[in-house]
Amino acid sequence: MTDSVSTIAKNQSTLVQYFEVWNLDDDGNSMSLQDYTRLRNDGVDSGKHGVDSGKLGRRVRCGEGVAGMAWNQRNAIILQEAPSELLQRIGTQNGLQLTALIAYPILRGQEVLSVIVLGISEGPGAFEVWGRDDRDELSISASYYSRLKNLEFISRYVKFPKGAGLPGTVWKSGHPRLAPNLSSNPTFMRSWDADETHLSTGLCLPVGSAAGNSDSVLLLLSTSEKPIATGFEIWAPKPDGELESQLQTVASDRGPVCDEETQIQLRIHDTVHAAWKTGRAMSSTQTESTYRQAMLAVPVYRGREQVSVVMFMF
Amino acid sequence: MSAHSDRRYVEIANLTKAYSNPYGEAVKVVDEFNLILRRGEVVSIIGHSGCGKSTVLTMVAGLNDITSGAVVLSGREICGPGPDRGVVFQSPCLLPWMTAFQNVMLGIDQVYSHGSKTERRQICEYYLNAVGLSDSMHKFPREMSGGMQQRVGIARAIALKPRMLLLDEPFGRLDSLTRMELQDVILGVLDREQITTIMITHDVDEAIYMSNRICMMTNGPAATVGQILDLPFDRPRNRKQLLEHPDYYEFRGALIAFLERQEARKATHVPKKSNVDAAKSAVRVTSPSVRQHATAGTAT
Repeated sequence: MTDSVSTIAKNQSTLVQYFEVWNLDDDGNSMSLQDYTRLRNDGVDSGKHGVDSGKLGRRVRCGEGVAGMAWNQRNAIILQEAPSELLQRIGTQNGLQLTALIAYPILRGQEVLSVIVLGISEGPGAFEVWGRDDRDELSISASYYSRLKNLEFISRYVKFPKGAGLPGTVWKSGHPRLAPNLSSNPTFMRSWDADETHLSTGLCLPVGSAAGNSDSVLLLLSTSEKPIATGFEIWAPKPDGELESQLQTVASDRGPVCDEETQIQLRIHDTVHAAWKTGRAMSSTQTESTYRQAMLAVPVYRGREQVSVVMFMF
Repeated sequence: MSAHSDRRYVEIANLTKAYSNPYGEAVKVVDEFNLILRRGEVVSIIGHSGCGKSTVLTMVAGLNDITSGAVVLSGREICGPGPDRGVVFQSPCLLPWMTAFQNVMLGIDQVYSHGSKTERRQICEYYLNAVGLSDSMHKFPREMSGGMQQRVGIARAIALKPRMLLLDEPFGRLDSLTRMELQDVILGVLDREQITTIMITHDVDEAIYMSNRICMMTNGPAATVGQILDLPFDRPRNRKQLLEHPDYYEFRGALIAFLERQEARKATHVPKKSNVDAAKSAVRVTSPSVRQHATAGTAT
């Protein structure tokens, strides 16, 4: 637990204001919207809880919509600002002012099992897709920055060989990595003005098909001013355990976000285990709670082997 | 030479150097250093003193055994020193009983033994002239300034027409005016000859001025590449124009900040003996998956 995150207030507004979970249909020809969640300052709206539930089950084919684009490219997608019709349409449909959409595909080998779509609102933060170039180094292939001018400038010129920096470390290991305290974190090399810009937490996720050889990585850089999520956790099986009940938290930056801590812990546990068991992304919301509660569980594969579940808490 | 091999002219892959410590353990000084250079590219390596920069360079030069990993130059894995790599150290190490001309000729006679005496002499004169020593070819080292001696050292290295030039803080002992002069001399030669070069330096401005790329090394032990900065400035370089470039100070600031952060981390690094002991106890109590995933020192 870190100082920067433990100060997050209950129901603090997050950069992510909307998310969707798309899962591959049984026939493998389309993806269906399994759930979507709107995060409001005073609560959450969720398709599973009957809000615009007619949208659930909507299908896209490979290449259609932002989820279909991520599926087609087998890579993380960043859409931002006008003239992105998709961004405008999703924002308008949900009554949100979105500045970017991030789509992250969950791959098992070559197969895309799920796509999560994050709707980003105005506020400081960064999303970066680092892809391999012809020197076998990672360089920025897509990005979204808000109010992080120095980081945006220097990142255009920075490259990471395998094992270097946060992206290179994740590329090498094939495991997701959480980096709290970015201003002093040894894996975060671009910490030039991390203190001044309140950069607090980095979450780096591999995107790829081959074990230990990711095609790219998605890096989320969150500020304490308006965090991407109120907390992140990485869950993985215990070293000698094969049973799903033996999953454990291996990294967390989640602070005390709610008085109903025990209930939340149980729900996290259930959501993590459901994602692990199905191998697909899962969302969970608690609309009737005093406090806004939503979580998104994202399984991560290394090649065809499921290695962990990353939890986003809102 | 194909375009592909020009793009990956030098490949340094997982280069690692380890020494045994008093506990009998292998301590990695450099750990899995990766770097690819295009043909004709100049790459500076910066990092704090003792981080392992020179260890990398001497391994590439073939002067220091490689524990693991490989260095491939123009499609061939290096094995020991060779005339395909010229090295210039901080001190030129000239033979004091020989003139500048004789010092340079020493290598030329070895490498161009098939050429005539006249040809070898012409090569020697050409490169001494290239470094601005046409009037001092027959001076002995004791008759030359430090800057002039270093020019001889540079001429000696490039006269062998190496595929790669390795510069280990070549201007470290020179005053700033001489340093700037020599930077221009070397850049002139590199631009003409298109020699692929790695230069070790502590000087951020020198790195920006002379390089296509800057490789920033983390602090040791187990030092490695932290990040690489691709500079967007064309060569040949013009010092005045570069200093007036609107992005110059952005790059400078980023490099200095990187070094400062490394210094701050170094300052909080615990002493070696207790570090080894602490590492041993951490291995006993921490599960493998936690060690694998958690961010060093801070993750829970």
